[in-house]
Amino acid sequence: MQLRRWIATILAGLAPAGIVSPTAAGPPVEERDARYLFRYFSDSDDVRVFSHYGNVQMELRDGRTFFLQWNHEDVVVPGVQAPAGSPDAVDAITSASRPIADAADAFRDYHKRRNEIKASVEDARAELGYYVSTEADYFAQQLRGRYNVDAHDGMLNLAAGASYGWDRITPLNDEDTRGTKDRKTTWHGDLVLTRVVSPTTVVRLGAEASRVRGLQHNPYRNVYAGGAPVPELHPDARWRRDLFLRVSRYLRNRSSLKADYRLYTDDWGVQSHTVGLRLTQYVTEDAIFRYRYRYYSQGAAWFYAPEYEIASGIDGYLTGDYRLERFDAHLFGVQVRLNLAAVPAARGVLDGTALRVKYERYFNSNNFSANIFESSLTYQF
Amino acid sequence: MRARRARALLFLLFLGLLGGCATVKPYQRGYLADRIMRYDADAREEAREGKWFEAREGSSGGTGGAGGGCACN
Repeated sequence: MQLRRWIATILAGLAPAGIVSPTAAGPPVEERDARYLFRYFSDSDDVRVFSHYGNVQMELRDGRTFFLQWNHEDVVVPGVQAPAGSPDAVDAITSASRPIADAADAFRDYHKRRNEIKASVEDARAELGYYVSTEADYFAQQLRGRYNVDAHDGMLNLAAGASYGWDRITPLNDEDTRGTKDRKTTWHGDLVLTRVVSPTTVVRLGAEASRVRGLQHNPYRNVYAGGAPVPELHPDARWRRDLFLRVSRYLRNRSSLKADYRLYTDDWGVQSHTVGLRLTQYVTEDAIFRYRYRYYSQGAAWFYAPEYEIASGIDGYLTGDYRLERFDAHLFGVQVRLNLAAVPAARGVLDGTALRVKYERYFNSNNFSANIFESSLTYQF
Repeated sequence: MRARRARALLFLLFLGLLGGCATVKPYQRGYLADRIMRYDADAREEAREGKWFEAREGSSGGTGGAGGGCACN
């Protein structure tokens, strides 16, 4: 009880006046929850990412919700493993996608820290949100809004959203590239239709479009072209579009099956298909298991080439970005969610507390693989 | 060609869903409100993982900005 009062006091202090406290009399908040989430990512290139998320969500009496999330992330990119001066080491340094201040720096691990804050206020119809993220060479902000309406006696819901993001890029000192300050802006719009088709099935269909302008290549990366390293260069404008379909069906044995498909295209020539399946099952009233599979397949960008014969690449553009190659990828995952109040010894102490643990394995046809581990603790008070 | 067919199919589905005639009364929507059926239960997770998929893949999106109504009320 003391703990609950303590957390409530902190949250009341965090909440901006007028947003979380619309009424002067009495406690303004109906329901709150707070969550801590730890995420660990490691891949076959020995890149490791440690993420610490915290968020609070408050349901207000007038039906509005205030949400605040912060994230602190540590990214560790390993130093070059090959012996200094060897052809492998020279290649690795020349085409590195991280800043390398001098020759000795290349053999040290590179540590990058990222902090982000996300805040939103929403009610049953509308949502307004702001996002800010900062790292040594990148500063990003975004404003977004959404609105949705019900029709056909609540069987149909139409939602529209838009966002504008503006990023400032300040490349760090790098020995063999000359990155200069630059900017990137992103306009995004989407339309989503959700429809109940039976007492156990709901279908969602959506369309999204984004217009990205500004720096979109890695300012630290070189590409071999015409036999010499040349700084990577991507077009500075990109139209991105996707259509998606999702079906969620309740099954007889207290489980659900969610299936989704996404078709993505852009004017860089990348086209992709994504198929996902999630089977979620109540094992007991307080334990939920989820199994997941995702398949992804994409084509290459029009200016991608495994090797460029001339220094100007293709129409002046060159890329060493693995995201613009052709490849297929698979992801398998399992997740357990436990309501800790169900543990007899914790009853009364951990009421409203849930533990979630997730493991996922990702691998693709370009010999890349990754392990993702996530655990979170949610406290409702 | 495959993309064009998929787009046409999704557009037809969109029209069908807009004008669908099946009626499910509010009291019949209990299953749809269960947390294992709700899209919003996955929304924040999808927003998080969208970032790392974008760091490994050339595509983005598929969540509608991780928003949209539930049509389950």
